[in-house]
Amino acid sequence: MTTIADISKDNVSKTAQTVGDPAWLKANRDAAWERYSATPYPTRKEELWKYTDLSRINWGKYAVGTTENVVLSTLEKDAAARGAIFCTLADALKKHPELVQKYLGRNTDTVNGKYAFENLAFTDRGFFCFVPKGVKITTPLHVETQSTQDGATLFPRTIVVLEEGAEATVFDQFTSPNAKDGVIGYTNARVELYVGQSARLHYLQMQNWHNGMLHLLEQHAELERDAYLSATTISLGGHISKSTIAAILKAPGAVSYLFGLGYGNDKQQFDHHTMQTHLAPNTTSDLLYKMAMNDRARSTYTGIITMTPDAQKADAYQSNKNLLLSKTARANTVPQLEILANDVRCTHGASVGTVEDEQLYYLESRGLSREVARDMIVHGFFEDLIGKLPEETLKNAVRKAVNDKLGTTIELEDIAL
Amino acid sequence: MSEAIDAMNNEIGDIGTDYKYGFHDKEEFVFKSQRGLSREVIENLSRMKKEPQWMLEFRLKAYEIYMEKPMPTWANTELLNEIQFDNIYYYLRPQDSEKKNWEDVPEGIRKTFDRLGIPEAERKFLAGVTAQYESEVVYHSIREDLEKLGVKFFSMDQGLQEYPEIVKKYFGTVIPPNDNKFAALNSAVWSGGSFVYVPKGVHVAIPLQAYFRINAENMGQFERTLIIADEGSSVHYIEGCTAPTYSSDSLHSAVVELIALPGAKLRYTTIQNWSKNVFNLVTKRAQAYRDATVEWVDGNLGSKLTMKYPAIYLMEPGAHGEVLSIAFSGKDQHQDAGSKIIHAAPNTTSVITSKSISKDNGRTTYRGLVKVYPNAEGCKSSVKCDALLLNEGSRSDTYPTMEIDCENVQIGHEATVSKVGDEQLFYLRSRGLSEDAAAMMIVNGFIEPFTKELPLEYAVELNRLIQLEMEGSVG
Amino acid sequence: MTQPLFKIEDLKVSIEGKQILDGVNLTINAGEIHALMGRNGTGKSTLANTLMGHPKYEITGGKIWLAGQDITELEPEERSIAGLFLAFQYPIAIPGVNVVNFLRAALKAHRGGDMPIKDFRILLKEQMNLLSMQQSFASRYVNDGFSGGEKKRLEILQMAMLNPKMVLLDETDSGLDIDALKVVAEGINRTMTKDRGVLLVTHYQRILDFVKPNFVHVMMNGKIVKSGGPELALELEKQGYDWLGKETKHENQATAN
Repeated sequence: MTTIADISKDNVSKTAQTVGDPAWLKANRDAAWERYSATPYPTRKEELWKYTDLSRINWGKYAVGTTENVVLSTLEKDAAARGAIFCTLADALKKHPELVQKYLGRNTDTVNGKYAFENLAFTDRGFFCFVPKGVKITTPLHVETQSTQDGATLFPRTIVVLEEGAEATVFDQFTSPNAKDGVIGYTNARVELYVGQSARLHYLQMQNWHNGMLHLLEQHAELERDAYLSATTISLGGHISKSTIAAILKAPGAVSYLFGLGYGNDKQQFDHHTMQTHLAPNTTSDLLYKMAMNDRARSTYTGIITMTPDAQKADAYQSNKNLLLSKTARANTVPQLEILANDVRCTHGASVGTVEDEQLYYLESRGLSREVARDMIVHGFFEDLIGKLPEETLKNAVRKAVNDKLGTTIELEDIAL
Repeated sequence: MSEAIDAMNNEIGDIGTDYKYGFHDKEEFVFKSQRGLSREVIENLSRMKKEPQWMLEFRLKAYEIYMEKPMPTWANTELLNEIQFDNIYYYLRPQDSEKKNWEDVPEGIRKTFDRLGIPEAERKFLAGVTAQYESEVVYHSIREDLEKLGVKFFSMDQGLQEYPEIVKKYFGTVIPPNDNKFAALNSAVWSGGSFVYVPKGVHVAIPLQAYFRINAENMGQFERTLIIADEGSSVHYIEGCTAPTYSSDSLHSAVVELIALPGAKLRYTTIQNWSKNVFNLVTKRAQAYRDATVEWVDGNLGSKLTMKYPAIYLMEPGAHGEVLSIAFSGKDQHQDAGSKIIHAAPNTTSVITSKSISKDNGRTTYRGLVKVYPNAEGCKSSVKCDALLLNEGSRSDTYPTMEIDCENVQIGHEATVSKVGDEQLFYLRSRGLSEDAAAMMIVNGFIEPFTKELPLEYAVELNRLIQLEMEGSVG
Repeated sequence: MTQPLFKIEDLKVSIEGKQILDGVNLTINAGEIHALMGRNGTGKSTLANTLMGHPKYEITGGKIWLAGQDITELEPEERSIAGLFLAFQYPIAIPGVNVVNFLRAALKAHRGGDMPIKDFRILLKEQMNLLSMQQSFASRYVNDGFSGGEKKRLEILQMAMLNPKMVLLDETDSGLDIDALKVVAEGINRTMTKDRGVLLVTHYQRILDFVKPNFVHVMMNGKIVKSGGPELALELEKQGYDWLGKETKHENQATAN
């Protein structure tokens, strides 16, 4: 058994073999390995790692080369007939090598340094979703990446490509079915979203791992002219969960929405870093991240809106709201703006607050226990964000996951009158 | 990168020509220390000032810290690295002793102040003057009624001589030398600045004011100010800066410590207008005790690079802190300013309002921190930053940080970045105002929350300075 | 015959390439009040803003004359100083700038120099009294947090202070209750002189009960399609605008005067 601590170039070759790499992919991995070897681990002195300390992680506990499931829903027949592809990365490499080559590793931009190169070198699973020009997929595509083994490592890669005018909704979920307490795991995921001209992508990424998971994710989205992206990140599981989410608005008319939801208890640590990068005029981006922290949990949000000199008449908004539910919960928030174009509208806001006594009192006066009242307020806090998801099934999946975590008895299904 | 710096340096050579206060007098010095910094320079300086041993030790310890600390890496390192520390005079004094009366002040120096229009205005409106010319206080007067109230308003050097116990008790307690590299530098070589002590229950009705200037080429100014407002007292201190222009860079690195004891109210107002080759790297911090209020009113117009983040530590319940600031960055300037509020006790409140304007390739940065300690329940903080960009090529950054370690709090931050609105311009022009006048009016309105907090003559001066900066600026 | 006070000649205007005004002709003599009526979206506000020189509107043809001067190419402030005044439909807020400072600056621009503060104060107080404005109004920020009525009153106050030759009132009656409307109308009537011309843009007859026009024009699809006396407004109130659409199909283009 090899662990991450004693990982070597051999493991790169082994992974390449298991996945069934074509030569170009193997070359990409080798290049990433070189960069991985040459790059030191980030330290807390770096702004992006200031609040999340991985220096005390015992990397010797994580076994490389674990096999875990990736379960995919079925693609609509219509869409498949019109050339849409939705399959595991390994299958895609066999059946559509040229197409995969065009997108896999097309972008290696990263702010995560060594960890990002690690994923690029050791990508061992994931899926490939391709929707050709003008094809609209109505049923959400669901991918469930699972982890059950103790000490498992996962290096998943998600690639979603929407060509001109295509539409799709993708639900990318990480779960630990029946994971026992004390089981540990390490995930280092990379997500690449390519939204073509006038295409519309709804992407929902939810991690409800078991509490032993160390979860790192870097998500990179590129938007072409008039493209529309709504990307939602739900963070519930793991003991440390750090996600880096970027939307690059490359051409005029592109619109991006980034939403985030996190609920933490125990000693969980969440760290979300977002980037809204406007490279072109008349682009629009909006962002709302809502975090509720209980017990000794901690949330860190850092986000940056960048308006390059070309991004005249662009419009950007960024909001991070935090709800602290216990005296020992913590929230750090660093919403940032870098504005190099003068004719723009740019606003951001952040708040940290607690459940108001008046709200609790009101609900209690109607007969609810304090715990239920508080859960209800937490639900209310998240509901506007959940309401922004495109499909009722997705909304309910998120509600259920939040509910399970809260351990609440509140029924949230809409009841028709 | 180096091309940019070269270009900047070339520009700087030209800036002096239109700087309003860009004249300078012939240098006349009794003592001139050598360029660069060493233990000997510090020992000499302390001996010349006849300081107590503890102060010399404080300086030497600070010098060690200064030598060890690296330059900050999070800031505009490109500009910071231009500072040639070995080429700076760390101590200069224009004459042997302080003068009591205006008439005794050497003529060359008086002329400089006359041209700035200071003394008349101050005699009319203000209580006392400590005007820092070079590194030493040259003129100092306190009106009799202040003396009667027991208010002590001296140069820092004189304060140390006359009230060593008070100074020893508080000096360096708010900002220890190891706080940051430039605080350490100041602690090692400080000279001049003000010492103010307001006794219990005393309300100083008129603002205390000091003017600071840099005049010798390549000289640093390291003034040190300590203000103590004792229980239930109130005082408003005003510091204004104007500096003549030279072609090579000058360093200004002050330390200001404020202590507001229970129930006191302390306001510190600064309008910084150093000439555009000055590096202005300042550490300002206040402590507010039970039910005390501290307000920083901070305007940044001049300098090449300013790094200044006035801080307030809210030490005990009921303390309140406010920071109200404006920054104006014109060509080749970077105003990197902000504020820090530390809620270290329950039921403390704070308000930060920051307004910034960037013109040409000017860059303004808001860098702030709001921190709430565990158990500091019931704290409230609101931060509002508005930035106005006047031209293509102007830049604005906002880096607020909020670290909240307590549940029962209300913390909010809002920021907007915009340009002068076309519809606003049209409306004003339709009433007969020229485009420039209309833009000026909008900018004045934008900073009005700041100017209305200033004494009238300062508000008028500020508007005039911004008007000069704004000419032909609508792009 | 003396030259007309204000003359619009075959004015054509487009916004972002889309033609909005399609050849407007109108002449207003000193002492006359003209009402320009029409449904929403027919180009009335475009006309008012174009006359004032809004940069968004591109004049693709025609000329505008004020007291014999061609003002077609002038900047907004030059038109203002030349004696043109527009009371905006939606006056914009200028946060942080109070009414007094704003009016002083505007008067200074018009007079080419400062007015003695004492005289200014007397003039402002007098005019504010006439418009039933509280003194505290003067220290508020221009249109910032103003109610609809307050905004319109401030427009009229500006008109009274700047004393223009030619006044354009863009939907000045919209959003006003009857009392506010009376105050505003009274302000218009009181400051009316035999040397002034007024163009009152509205889509309601209501204000015309208080400000009596000498001429009424109807605008449709970027043109003035019918002109007449005060009776035309009453007719429009009774019958609406539909009959005009039919009529103009048979008629040639109607022009004012």
